[in-house]
Amino acid sequence: MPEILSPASPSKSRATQIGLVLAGLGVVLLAIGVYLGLFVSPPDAHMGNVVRILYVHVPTAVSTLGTFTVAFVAALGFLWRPSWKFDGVLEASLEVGVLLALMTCAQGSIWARPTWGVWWDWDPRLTTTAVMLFSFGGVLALRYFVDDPVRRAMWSAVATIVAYADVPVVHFSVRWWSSLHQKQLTGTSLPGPLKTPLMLTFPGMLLLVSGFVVLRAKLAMRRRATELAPPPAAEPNPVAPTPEAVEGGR
Amino acid sequence: MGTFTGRIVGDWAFVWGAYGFSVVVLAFYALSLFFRGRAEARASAVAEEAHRLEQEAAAATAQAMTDRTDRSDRTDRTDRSDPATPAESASATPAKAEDA
Amino acid sequence: MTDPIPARSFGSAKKSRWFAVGALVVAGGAFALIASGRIGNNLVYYWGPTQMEKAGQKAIGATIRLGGQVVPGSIHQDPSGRSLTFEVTDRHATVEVHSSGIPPQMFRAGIGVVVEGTMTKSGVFESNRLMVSHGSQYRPPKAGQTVDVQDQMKTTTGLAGEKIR
Repeated sequence: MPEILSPASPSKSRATQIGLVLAGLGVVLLAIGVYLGLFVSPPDAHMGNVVRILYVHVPTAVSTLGTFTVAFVAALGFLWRPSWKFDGVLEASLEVGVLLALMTCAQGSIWARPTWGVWWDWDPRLTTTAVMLFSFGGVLALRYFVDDPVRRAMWSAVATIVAYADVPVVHFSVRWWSSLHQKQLTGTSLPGPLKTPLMLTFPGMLLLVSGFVVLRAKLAMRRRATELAPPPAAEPNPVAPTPEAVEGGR
Repeated sequence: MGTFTGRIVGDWAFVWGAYGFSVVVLAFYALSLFFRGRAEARASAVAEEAHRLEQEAAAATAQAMTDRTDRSDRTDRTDRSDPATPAESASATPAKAEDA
Repeated sequence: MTDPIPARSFGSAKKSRWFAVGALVVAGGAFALIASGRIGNNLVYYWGPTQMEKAGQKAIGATIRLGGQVVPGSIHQDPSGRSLTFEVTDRHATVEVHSSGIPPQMFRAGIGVVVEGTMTKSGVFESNRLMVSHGSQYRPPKAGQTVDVQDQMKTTTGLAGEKIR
């Protein structure tokens, strides 16, 4: 009996293994990139050491948009061909995406204070990012408030697709409108020594985030399995004949 | 023309702030995934074990009923006057059935 | 653990596909509306000196933001250090700004700024919030670097070029 309380299967599932490998690779790349970014690469001529925030802020911001894109695709996939797999990926990418959006805003805010002189301003990039954070946060909250798994999956898929309208706007905001936020990096934005850390932290963050999404999706699938399993006591085993059936058959 | 050099100094605090915040958030999320996964594994293991026990009990009951059915087919109808109530017979174990 | 998720009806697949189409139409419509500029034109974050000049009397009194480049040589700091005046340009028009408070460390001649405040009748923009904008160009410091105005200008092309359109 005590072994019931230990994790059921000592061998991890395939999805869990993939998730752990992705996250592990991501952590390794991030560690090297952050080391180079903090201690090896030179400061910016004017921004000084604050420029180092770029090596974590840009990968986080791009991962945020990428994760919400995964959520969008999973939502479309679910509505087109309903399956719990799509719902699991949707749940995972919504949660990880909201976390990343929060991180992006915090990092950006910390970077803005010394450079712009303010923690926050309602510039188009910042405003559209805040809208993105709150709309996907709302979708995530919706999932917690709906008890019926089927309705929860349907509604959150629809809400995700609608909320996604803002994601390309966040991307284009710095091109369409004049803003305080700088534009996207281009090939000439960062000279060699300033570029190297980003070449490591960028794929590192993407790998770590995909690992998180895979692991979280696996957790969602497990939860759905227990959530949808019929309570053992309430439903008799259909294979075993009930006394009534035996009596009646006589 | 003022004395504005346009260069940021005393900036490491912001760098540590941004990196520290990011590391803490990511580490907490990794931990939360681990603990939630473990809790879920336990919950489903308990549910699975309960389900298995239930199935075993049901199978045993079914076995008892089958034995009883076999016997009643063989024996005389006067057996029906046996005072055993249906509730008792439903909970009969195979050993009991053989006793009769 | 490895149990498959118990089957549960999702209802008709046709219905959920209509949900997908409906949601896509709503999202696409919202995106198109913003992208086409119908909403975007109302979301002006700051005015350039040219727009400020065109607006004339209408600009006076309301809280607005003005963006542009700090004209080299125009910066004058109050002896008390509590306020400063400088000129903001978009290469077509120039507006004089009086700003209170200590500017961010990045503030310098030639850099992009966004100031929030009101236009006064005297034609001086009175600002209480000064923000410095940085372009997406980064450079390591040169050995024994001195403050080179030409070099600084490069970092602000993003903001200055933007506003003229």
